[in-house]
Amino acid sequence: MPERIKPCGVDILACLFCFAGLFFPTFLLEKANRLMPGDSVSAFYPLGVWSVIIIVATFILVLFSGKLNFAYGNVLRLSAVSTVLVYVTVSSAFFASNVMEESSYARVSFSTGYWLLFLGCMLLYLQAYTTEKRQSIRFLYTSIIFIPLAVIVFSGFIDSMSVMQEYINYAERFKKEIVVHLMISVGSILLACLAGVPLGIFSAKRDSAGSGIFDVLNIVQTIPSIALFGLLMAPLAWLATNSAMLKSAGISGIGWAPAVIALFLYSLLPIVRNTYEGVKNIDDGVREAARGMGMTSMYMLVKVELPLTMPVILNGIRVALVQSIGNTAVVSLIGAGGMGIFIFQGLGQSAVPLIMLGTIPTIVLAVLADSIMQLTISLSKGAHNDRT
Amino acid sequence: MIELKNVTKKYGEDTAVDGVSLKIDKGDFCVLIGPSGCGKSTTLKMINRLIEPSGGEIFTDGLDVKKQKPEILRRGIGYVIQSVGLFPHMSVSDNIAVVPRLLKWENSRIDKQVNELLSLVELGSDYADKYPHQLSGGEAQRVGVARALAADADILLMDEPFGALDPVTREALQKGLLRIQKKLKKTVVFVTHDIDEAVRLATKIAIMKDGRVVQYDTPENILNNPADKFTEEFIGIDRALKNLTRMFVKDISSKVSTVKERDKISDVIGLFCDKVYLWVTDENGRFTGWLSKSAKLDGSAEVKDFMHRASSEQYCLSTDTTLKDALSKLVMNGVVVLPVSEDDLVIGEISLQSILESGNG
Repeated sequence: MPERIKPCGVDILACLFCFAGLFFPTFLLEKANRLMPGDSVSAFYPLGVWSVIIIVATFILVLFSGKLNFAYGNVLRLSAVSTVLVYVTVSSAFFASNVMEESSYARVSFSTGYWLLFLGCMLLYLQAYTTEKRQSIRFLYTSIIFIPLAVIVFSGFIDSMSVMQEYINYAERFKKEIVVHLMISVGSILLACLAGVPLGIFSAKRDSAGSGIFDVLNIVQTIPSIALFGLLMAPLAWLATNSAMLKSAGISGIGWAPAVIALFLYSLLPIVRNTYEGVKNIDDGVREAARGMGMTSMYMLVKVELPLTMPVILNGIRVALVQSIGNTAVVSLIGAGGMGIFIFQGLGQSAVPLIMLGTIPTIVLAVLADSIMQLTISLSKGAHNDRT
Repeated sequence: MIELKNVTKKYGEDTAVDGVSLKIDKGDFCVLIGPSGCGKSTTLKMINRLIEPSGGEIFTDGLDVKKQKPEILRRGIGYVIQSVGLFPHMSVSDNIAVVPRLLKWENSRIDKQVNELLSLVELGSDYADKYPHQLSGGEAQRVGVARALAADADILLMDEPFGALDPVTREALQKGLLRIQKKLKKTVVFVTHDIDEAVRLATKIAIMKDGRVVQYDTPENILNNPADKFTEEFIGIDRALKNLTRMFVKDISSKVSTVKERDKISDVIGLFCDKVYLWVTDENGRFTGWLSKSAKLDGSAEVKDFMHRASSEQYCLSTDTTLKDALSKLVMNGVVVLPVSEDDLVIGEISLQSILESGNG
């Protein structure tokens, strides 16, 4: 018998979010058409009383089984959470399609209650994820939560929800803009790597140069993005009017050029800083041994310094990439496109589902990029860091 | 062979090394020793041009080091440092193979070399695939030594290689290094501030102070005739004892007849001559105790009835014990003579008198 079954803090908080969501008056929002103010729909309409009772019971079980250390306990708990999430989402969509049958202009969107429940479920997942050290089990947890969600989104189960209705209306545009979004954020990161890694190595080798470079990069980091776009607009516009070649290359005061340049500048700091720290932190003995054995500085850089620094550099790139994917949401303000198009259009029309259509994919992209980079980092550490 | 001619290193106004001249013959084990800041490490690092001298000339095997590219020069000189500096992302075998790879040896030759070196430094071949973080300090430095020997360089530079190790490990590595040096006959330059280590390892010691060499001679001569007050103080008041660390039990052990437990007293009583003890062994020749000369001995009894039983661990000296340790064991047991054993068998004895005689010579 475990000594005492006591739920842990994060689990309690997560379940509180879930309960608050379930009983929040505005679980879903029903509108006569997409621009009208909506009416609250509580969770009891789409789910029914019995389902709510069962869901509450499920969460209580999940909460109190937290300390039970039986094998795959967390797998079972997350499976329960995943089932609840899928059931609630599909039921909401079912409710929405019933509403739409009465009036095809009517819209039902996820609202505060649903999102609170969603947040609670995410907290339960994160709690399990962060306390698990084995990479393979972590991957299993992620699959349990996200694969069913992905399936119901992509297989059209929730097409009746307003977010998906917005997607159906904007499908072509959406596909184009998500590619633009990725190209701008990843492109600026690639440029930042090309410039930042050598810059970081250089500043680590020459301390005098280092402090100057960091002064500049720190100032850049403090400029708000909108202001930076403004600052770049004038010189780029001047360049475009004075050089036919640049103009034909698509460079102008607005559009992708200032966006990529601004994101590139923001990304430099984490990449340069991590490269600098990584190279600086290499043990002096390692460097002395390398020199004493007759390595040239180039050979030492390629065979010793970069391999040892790679996890730190990649971590800098990870931070920069996640930050860049988020910041790209703003560049639609200067006509560069991306997910920001939907967000700002939604803001203009007070159409929350449209905002969600821009926001959710941005978050998903950022989270995906983050986990891909995490995986790359753990691979780059290789066998010499396998400490058990 | 290494030759330093009037080598000087200045940092601005400060002189770290001040006109050092040394000639280190092929196969010599030269220890540079002195207090912190005496310029011994700087002198060492000028040989492989990790530090460039401000003046003077350095020759390795007759070639001026300044005329060679630093990287090429260093690949021909083994280098071991206190912090070891193993590359953490490379396995032990890859660490050892660094210089052979720089010299573009063939893979088969590298593999063979790595295996030979691992056994030379007394690490099994199962260490080949380990990573530096899996090694203890002593094991890491063994790998460090193997790495320095990897390209068969004639010269080996060692900068306080055992300074960070605990005394037991340090002694094991010193023994190992002596064994390797006996086999390979490298020209070694070794920096330390531990005079015991210097006396144990060196064939030549250079005592340094304030960037100058105060005395450069064999350890025996330095211990017996210190050049000045500084050297005398540096080598310490126990310099006679230090001299004993260079000599081994096997050098002065004298042959002796032993008796077996089952022997009749009357048969062995003649063996005493002027001795007070006879060493008693079992049937196989293993030490089991001693028989004291006394009037009470009954000729018809067996040795085992009168012998004093004792453990070989406490009393026996092995042949590779230093005379200093042998002396210590004599004092500890309060006796003037102890048996010497090899592979558990008593082969001789060593007396306080013989140690005193060799200490003076």
